Amino acid sequence: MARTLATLAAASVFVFSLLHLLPGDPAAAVINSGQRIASPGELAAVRAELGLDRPFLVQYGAWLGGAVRGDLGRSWVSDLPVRAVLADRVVTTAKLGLVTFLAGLVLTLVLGAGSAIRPGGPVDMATRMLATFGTAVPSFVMGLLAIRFLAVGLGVGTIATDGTLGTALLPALVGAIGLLTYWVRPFRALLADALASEWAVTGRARGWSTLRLLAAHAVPNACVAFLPFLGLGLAGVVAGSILIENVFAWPGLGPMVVEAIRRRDLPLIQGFALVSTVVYVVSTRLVDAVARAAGPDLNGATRRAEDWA
Amino acid sequence: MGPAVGGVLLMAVVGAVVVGPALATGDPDAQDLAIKLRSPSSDHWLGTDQYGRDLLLRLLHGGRLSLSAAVVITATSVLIGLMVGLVATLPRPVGPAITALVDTLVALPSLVMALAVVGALGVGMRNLVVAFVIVGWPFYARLIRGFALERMNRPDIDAGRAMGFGRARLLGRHVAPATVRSVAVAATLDLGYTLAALAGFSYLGLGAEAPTAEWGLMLRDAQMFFTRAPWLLLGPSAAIALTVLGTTMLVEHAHGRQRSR
Repeated sequence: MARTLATLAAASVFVFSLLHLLPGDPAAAVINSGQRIASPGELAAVRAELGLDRPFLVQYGAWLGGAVRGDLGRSWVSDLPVRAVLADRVVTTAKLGLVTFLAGLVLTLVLGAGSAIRPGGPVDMATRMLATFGTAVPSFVMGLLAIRFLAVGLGVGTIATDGTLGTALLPALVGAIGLLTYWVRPFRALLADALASEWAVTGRARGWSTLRLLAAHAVPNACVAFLPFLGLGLAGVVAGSILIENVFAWPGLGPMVVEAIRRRDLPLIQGFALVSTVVYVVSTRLVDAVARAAGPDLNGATRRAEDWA
Repeated sequence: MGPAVGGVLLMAVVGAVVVGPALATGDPDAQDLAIKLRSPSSDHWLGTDQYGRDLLLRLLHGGRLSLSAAVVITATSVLIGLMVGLVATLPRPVGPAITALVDTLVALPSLVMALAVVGALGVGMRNLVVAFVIVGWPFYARLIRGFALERMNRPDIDAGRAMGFGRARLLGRHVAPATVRSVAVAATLDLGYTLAALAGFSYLGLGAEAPTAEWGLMLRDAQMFFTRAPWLLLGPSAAIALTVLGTTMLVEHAHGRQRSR
């Protein structure tokens, strides 16, 4: 808990100090991003308004106080409150994120099971190739290829996305393949462990079909053991989602932050960085906590088998 | 499969990128609107783009840019990480304080932070390199600190300590070299991913700027001419994928060898 707070504090200091990383005079930057020409009087006024003459810590305190209350300033370009812009975009990003996550889970489950049942079989080989492909080809490249060859070439999915779930197929698929590359290997291994456990051997001796074994024992056990691995690739997913949203023009945080960077709209960039970092740090800590709660014994398929019998 | 293929792939990419522009002479920025958007032919092995520029030349020159930038980023991050990581092994109060800082920085999402730094500094390849280094060194610092601590507790180092060797000598002559060897594995992997990330940022328009030839930028252009000229996509995509594949395959073997040691 203390570590999480420390990390968040460090992130907030970093994000805040970006203003001072700006080349040149921050006051001028505020005005210039609004595409106005600054007079010395305006510069002085902005400087006073932003409190740039006060010591760094005081400025940071003021900014942090506002941020905690939800006031993240106003966009230098549109003058809209950052919080309003972010809120709208976050919902759209979360929509795609959820669909991607579920698609990734389904893909991992299906392909993982198919691979574990028949190691070396066609599903196993195909999954291995897909995983390698997913590691070598960055998500944005995969997105481009998907648009060209699936959407334009085969008519699968839509070329343009507009934030509605109907158009989310391709971006979610690309994101799901990214998740697959992190998840499928551990999941397949856990499933194979479960299928080879004493419980499974006994079941087979009793004449149970592989399907029954899977459903009743292997998959549930593997899923529980798999929980700690969900955090794997969280960073990759966050990164990938920003790129994927831009490739598909999905109106979430991704395109917003890219445009903010191009227009030097610092409050928006800072707001994005702060919110994303908070979400990321909190979720990684949560996943770590789950991993610890699941216990150190991740290979306890045998023991769990006794519970099931 | 494994290291041999990976090594060959990587060397092929590096070789093509280093030697290619010398062999395939020509200006990657030379425009000739008369031959724009031609599909691959014997004159232009990868075709031409919307300005009539030869795509193979742009691919090779772009590769030089991406590869050298990735090497600079990785090398600098490793260097800074090495220094900070070794300092983090010192006894209290310095060591634990630095370690706490590094652990905190490592927990931050790197792409988000890189975007933030580019947002502050402005777009462009040089700022991109700076941003990636700022975001990348904590990983190596933590890695190196871990390796160094593990090695410092080995019997041969204890013997040295018993013989009265100072910490600096132990670190410099015995711990550092072995640590660096282990880090080479991580750095190779990182090289591939950094290259992909550079291309990603350029694709977004935040890195290399037109008319520079760069793989990500070429993909950005390619997206505009999808239906008419799909070959624009294939060169840079394959180049990026092969480079990452090369680094990951090369390293998987070394990783396996490390574990069995």
